[in-house]
Amino acid sequence: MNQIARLAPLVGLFLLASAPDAEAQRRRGERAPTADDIGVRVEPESAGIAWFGTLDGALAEAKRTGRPILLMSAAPACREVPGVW
Amino acid sequence: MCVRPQTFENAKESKRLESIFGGRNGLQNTVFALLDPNGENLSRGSRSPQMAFGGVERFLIELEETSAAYAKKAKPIEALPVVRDLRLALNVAAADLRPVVVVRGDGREAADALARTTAKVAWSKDAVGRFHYVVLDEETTYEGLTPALGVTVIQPDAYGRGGEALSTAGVDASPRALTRTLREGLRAHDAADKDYETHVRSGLREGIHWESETPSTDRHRRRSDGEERDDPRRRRRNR
Repeated sequence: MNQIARLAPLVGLFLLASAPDAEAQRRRGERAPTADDIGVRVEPESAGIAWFGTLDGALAEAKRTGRPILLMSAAPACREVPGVW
Repeated sequence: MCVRPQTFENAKESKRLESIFGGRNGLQNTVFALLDPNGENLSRGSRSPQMAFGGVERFLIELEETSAAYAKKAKPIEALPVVRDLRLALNVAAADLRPVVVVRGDGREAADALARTTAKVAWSKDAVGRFHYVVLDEETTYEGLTPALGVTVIQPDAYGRGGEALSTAGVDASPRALTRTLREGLRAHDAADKDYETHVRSGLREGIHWESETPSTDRHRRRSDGEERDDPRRRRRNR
């Protein structure tokens, strides 16, 4: 139970389901998946995930600490507009 | 550990990501996998956790089991979780509605030392997951923003094109002083949640354009003037 409680914030992010219309659009290939589609969105004012932003840096620290990695890459632009996943 | 490289922003990283999950045209917009501490796959590469595990419940079980397998021998994380450069850090922070902490030293050695001090604060309970970090070892200007030597908490604008300093600390700041600086920055930070469609529409209308470091090979691409770019798959079909 404690483990589930610890993972709850992370899992909560993945539970953010996209709206059915948006999902249909994505499936039809009309747009690339957004943060909401893949569950990487972080709500303002909440503690989020401490993401390592570079693969090299993260792999070095994972090796040193013996920790496994959750890898989720994403492009910080949609239709070449920045500031959104 | 959670790692989120920015897709299409580094050639070496792109190659590695594509080896984990590549589509018919090459690297996709998103890549997901669980890796062991040596970077070897623990799960199959895919576009998302949903695609890899078929649902949140299965994903939760995988996370629990993977975490438990390594928990006993795992050492504490000490490295600062950084984004590659100032331009990217502002963009990523804007997308996540987070402030950016810029750690700037006079030269690599000084920057690394300040980053180590900042990392002690970054993994504290009150700070973890609330900031993005970038380390600079020389004066850097982006969109009129030139972070000072030391530690500066910055609020990026909505598109991550520049930003405003919210709080600062000097190069010799103690962990306690840095804690105060980060707390002050967080209190002053004010980012409204974004509606995806509105944000993108406004950006296109205002001609705001992000040029990725490597070409996007995902299917959906559009120029800032709204005109659709050539779709490689469509081009092949029309031959």
